[in-house]
Amino acid sequence: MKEFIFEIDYYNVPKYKQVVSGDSFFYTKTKGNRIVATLADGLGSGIKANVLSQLTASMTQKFMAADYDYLQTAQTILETLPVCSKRKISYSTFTSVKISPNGNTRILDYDNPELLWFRNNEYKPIILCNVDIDTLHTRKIVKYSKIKLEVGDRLILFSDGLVQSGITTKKFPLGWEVEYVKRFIINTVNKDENISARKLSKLLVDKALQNDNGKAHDDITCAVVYYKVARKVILVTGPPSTHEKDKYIVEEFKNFEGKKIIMGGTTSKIISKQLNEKIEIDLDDLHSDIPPASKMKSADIVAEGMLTLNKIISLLNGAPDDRIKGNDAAYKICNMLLDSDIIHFLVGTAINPAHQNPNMPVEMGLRRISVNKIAEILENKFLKKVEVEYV
Amino acid sequence: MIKVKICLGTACYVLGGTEFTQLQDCFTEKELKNISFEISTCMDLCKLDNAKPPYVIINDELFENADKLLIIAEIKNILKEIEDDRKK
Repeated sequence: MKEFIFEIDYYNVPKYKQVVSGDSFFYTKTKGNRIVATLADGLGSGIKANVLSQLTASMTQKFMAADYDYLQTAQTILETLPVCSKRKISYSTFTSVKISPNGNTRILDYDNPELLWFRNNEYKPIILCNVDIDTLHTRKIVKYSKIKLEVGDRLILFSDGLVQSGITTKKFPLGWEVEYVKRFIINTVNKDENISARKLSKLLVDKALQNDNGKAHDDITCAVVYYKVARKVILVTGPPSTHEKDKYIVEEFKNFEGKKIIMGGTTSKIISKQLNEKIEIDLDDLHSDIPPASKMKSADIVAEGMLTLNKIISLLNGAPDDRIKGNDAAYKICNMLLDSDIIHFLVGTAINPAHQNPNMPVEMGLRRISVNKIAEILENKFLKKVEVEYV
Repeated sequence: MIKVKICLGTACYVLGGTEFTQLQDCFTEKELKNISFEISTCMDLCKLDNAKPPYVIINDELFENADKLLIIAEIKNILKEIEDDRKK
């Protein structure tokens, strides 16, 4: 059965020589499975801009999630922002979207570049309603709109760093204007119809960075919302509590439609024995801090259990850039999980007597704890749909 | 031919099995012609009572609590025996 989900992901590069980005992108799931995502761009760059944008984004997220009136939300935020000591203005632009499970989407935008909407890989203009808002000091214009997303639609949000990339260069004297961005997106999607939000956002930011010759003139952030058929993955780890249940995990594994991951030496042996398939270790993979990955006909990857699980936790907790630096089993599985939307964990609860050896590191304790941590991160940080089944 | 089977299951890996991944670098090319290395995801020996990982099997002989130097010495010994046999 096909399931549809909203995939959201973003990529960000701070301004050249800055440690933190002045843009912030937050996304959360609220009650009723609605998704709220906000992109805020603080005035200037560096820490000050980061504080401004984080403040704005988190306020917007809370207000939008709480079903607060949209215009009241905008007014409160515009009045609350701290004033810059240098320029004597308070400033942070933002775009926020709230998506219901049926595709109904509300958009609230203040001064950010145009939000792009694509259906069947064609640009679809969004009719925005301009609303004047009287704040304590001045009058400001906020844009508001309501659209309905259909399966296959993409929404693309970005900060001005993207459209201003390459400004004053010969190729783009006025920057990478929205028309160029639209053409780039259409060409990219033409080449890969099902390109994930994660890949598309990274490609756009990389292209902008290339326009700036590798030294970003401003913080560049791009976020993509993609409404699509969910990609599924099953992760089987640990032998079941009793031998009678071996058959069950093998059947579940065999009949699963989607990508398949096996973690754990004994688990892989159980499955390989029952399916009568050979496990071949990848000998090129020996120079890492975790045991090497192996191959099996019906699995996408076979890896060791506890050490790899713990490395995946640290990779998921780390920065997006760190997840593409290596090529061992943990990196591969981590990216496989992030490239999926529905993740099914099949966790065996047998306790491995060898792991109770006092010489073993403490974190080697229980598989369930490690899997739970991964499930929690995937669910809360990456908004994946996670199912954990214990056998 | 000397068959060396190395276990890289979690218990073996953590308790010293990592050392064996670079075992090939300790032999000359000529010596390597007579050795075949095999890696196992888990040999299930660690589940037994009084298990002493890491495990290495050389020509069906099991080595508990295996140590890199000991394994190298053992393989070199067998190589020497093979060489001596050939000379005779």
